[in-house]
Amino acid sequence: MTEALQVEHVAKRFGALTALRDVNLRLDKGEVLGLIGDNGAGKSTLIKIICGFHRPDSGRILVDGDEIVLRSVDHARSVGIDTVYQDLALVNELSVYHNMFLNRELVHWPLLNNRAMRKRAKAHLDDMGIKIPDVSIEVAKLSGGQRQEIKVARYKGCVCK
Amino acid sequence: MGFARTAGEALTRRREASVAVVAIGLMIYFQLSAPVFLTHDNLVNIAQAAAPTAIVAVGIVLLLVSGEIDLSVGMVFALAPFLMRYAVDFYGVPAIPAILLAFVLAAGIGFVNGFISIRLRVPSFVTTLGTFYFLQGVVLTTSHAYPAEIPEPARGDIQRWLGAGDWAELTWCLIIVGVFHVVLTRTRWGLHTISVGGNLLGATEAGIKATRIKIGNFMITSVLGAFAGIMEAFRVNTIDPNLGGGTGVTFTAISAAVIGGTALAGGSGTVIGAFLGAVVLAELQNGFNLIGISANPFFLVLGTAILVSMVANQYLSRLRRAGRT
Amino acid sequence: MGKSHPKVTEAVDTLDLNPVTRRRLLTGTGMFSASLAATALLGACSDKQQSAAGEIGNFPKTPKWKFVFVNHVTTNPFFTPTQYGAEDACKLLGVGYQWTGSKDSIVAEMVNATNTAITGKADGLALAVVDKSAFKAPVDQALDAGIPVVSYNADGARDDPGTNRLAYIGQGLYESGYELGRRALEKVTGGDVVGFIATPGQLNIQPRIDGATQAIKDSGKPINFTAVATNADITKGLSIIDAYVQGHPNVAGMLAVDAGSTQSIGQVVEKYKMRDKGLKVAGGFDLVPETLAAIKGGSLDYTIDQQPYLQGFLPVLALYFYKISGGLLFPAETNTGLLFVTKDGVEPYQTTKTRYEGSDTAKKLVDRSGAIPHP
Repeated sequence: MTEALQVEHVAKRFGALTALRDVNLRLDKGEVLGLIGDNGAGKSTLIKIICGFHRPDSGRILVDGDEIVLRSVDHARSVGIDTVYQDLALVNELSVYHNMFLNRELVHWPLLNNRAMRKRAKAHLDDMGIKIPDVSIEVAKLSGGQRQEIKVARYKGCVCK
Repeated sequence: MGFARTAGEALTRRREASVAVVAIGLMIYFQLSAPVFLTHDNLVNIAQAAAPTAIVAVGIVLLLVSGEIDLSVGMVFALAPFLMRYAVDFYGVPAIPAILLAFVLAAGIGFVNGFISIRLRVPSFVTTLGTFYFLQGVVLTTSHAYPAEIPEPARGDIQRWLGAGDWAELTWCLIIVGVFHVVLTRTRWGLHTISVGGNLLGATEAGIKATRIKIGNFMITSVLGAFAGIMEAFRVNTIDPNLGGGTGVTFTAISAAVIGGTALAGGSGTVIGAFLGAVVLAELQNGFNLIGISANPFFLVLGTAILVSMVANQYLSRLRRAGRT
Repeated sequence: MGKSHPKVTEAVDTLDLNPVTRRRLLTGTGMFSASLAATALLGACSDKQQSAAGEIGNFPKTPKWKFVFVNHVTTNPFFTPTQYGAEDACKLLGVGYQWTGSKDSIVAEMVNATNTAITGKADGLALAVVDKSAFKAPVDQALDAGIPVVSYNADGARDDPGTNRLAYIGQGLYESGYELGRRALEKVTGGDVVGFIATPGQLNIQPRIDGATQAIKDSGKPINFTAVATNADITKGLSIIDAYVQGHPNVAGMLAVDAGSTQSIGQVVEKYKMRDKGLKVAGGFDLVPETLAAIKGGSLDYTIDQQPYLQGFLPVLALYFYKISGGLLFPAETNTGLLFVTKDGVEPYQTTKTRYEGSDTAKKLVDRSGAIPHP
């Protein structure tokens, strides 16, 4: 049985600082893995490499048994890897539905198809049981908990492993 | 649901309302003080003063929203008509292609601004300060600091349609303001511009190519500056090496953007507000001149008026925000 | 603040001064206000004062006309006496003026100010025509609207005034440059002569250096004349002139065509003691204090006075006469003078502070006695 994700001998340096030396990781389909470490251990760096934000200095990543070189976050997303970040990755000035569709907006070229996005966003949130009064209001006006919910909901729209 | 949405839209539009109120208030004040204020000819004067500033301010808004600034646009404004002239007079290029060539070169300047600011990580304030002086040197050296005449092939219809006609400048201005209002509020480009300015890290992590957005906005600003500069040269019928006014155009455009409601910090801005801001500034200039205030006290009055307008603007904005929730 | 004799107060009131000047006069030193009060009383007695309501002197009653002065460097101190001149003429004739334009020589701003004056229905326009193409349309518009227009201080290019203004009131720019050059030729017979100009191309000073160039060429003498740009900013100009001199220590003559460059030449000549070396002549324009000091000290040989006061006073008269005579008294081309100020005559300029030179706001009668110098 091929693992969903394999990370082999990954290393990453930032100048003189070695963030990861020789990391190996295996994730089966349906498995939930918790990554624990001290501050500065390199958890964020590893996650960033897996989701395509950084390139490893050495080592390789395999998705469903196939080795893949991740070119960008978009590329990672297209092969099924997506991330919810610890730092608040929402744009305060934008509405809930714009945040949920960030960089994946629906367009009625050349304009945005706001109506469709609103509909889908509302449907998603209802699906997940998240109660947001109006998807058109600015994210800045939501409570901390609501913002967290939006972020999780944001990535529900993609096909993730 | 439908009602909430229309109310929502109305609320957004109201951000520009505070500036609009100031603009209308000034109009009333000046009309009462100098009854010729609202005559056809004087409205043309105001339109011709506001239009170039507004066009440049549109670009400035895009940049400010994305978290950057461009101090050199006033010099692109001055240089562009010279570039057009050199192309026509020295290289025999016909008028319209010469103008387009000036735009292309302006876009190049914008690219350089963006590249240095984003790729080489120099704060855009500093970068564009440098290009400002550099371009000033280019203008002065190539023109020998002489004013130049509008090249022959560009006179007549082209000159009229592109600036000299009474309402030409205003028409182009409204078209540009309209287009970029849509861009900023209803396209991916605008959305990404806001994202990059509002939360650069978050936007990048979502995969938005911040570099491309920012450099693109620098290029847009420079081209708009070039367009406004050529328009003004046509209107005034001379190519003036002083036209960039040193810092005049840049200052006024940034003021218009900020008076109109665009935050200097980034992430939020309004193109329509910038247009209204430019109208406010033009009204102040024109109105006080009509009343008869002479040059020295003029600056006193203008500065006070800008401060008062801004305070009124802030106050009205706060009222609006309080009324919302 | 002592108490003045009520008659004195009454007399001063007839002068219709602004409150500051009035207070200053009433509390001024004895001789000062007494002589002025005497003048006022005499004036009140003669029938040359306002007789019927609204009439001024021998002229009929007129509406309070407004004449607009459009200038290219509105805050430049050179034009302060110009504004005093305009103000004094207006007071004399019962009309008003507005001083507007651009602070930094931006032609578009001047055009805007002109257009505003036209829509504001100004009664007359005085324009410094610093660009030969930009003002043609606005001036035509003004004339079409029945507004008389004169130019002052600058009048387009030498061969092309560029506008249909009714008359030019100012110094003959090319001619003054020519004289600048000619006078230099009295002391220099050959070698290198440099001419400094703050902003090349600008039409209120470029013709001067053109004139100087031509004068030197016409002389036929083996002089090598170079024009060098300095800067509108005096401190930068000073550095440029300094650097030039260091590179050309044997220059035979140094000329300048604007106030800033002239002042800087004086300073540089003094600094490098160039009069002891090969420098035969140094001269320029305008009467800023530094320049006057340099003339007194011998670093500069001469400077040319443009009489900016008259450049404000005379346009008002010209426009007034045009309007009061229904256009029959047409503005006349007026040369506001080309006066050379040299070491012999410089002292009164330095010591007297008057409205006419812009160095004081108070009105005063400047005494002069003795023979008038002449060649």
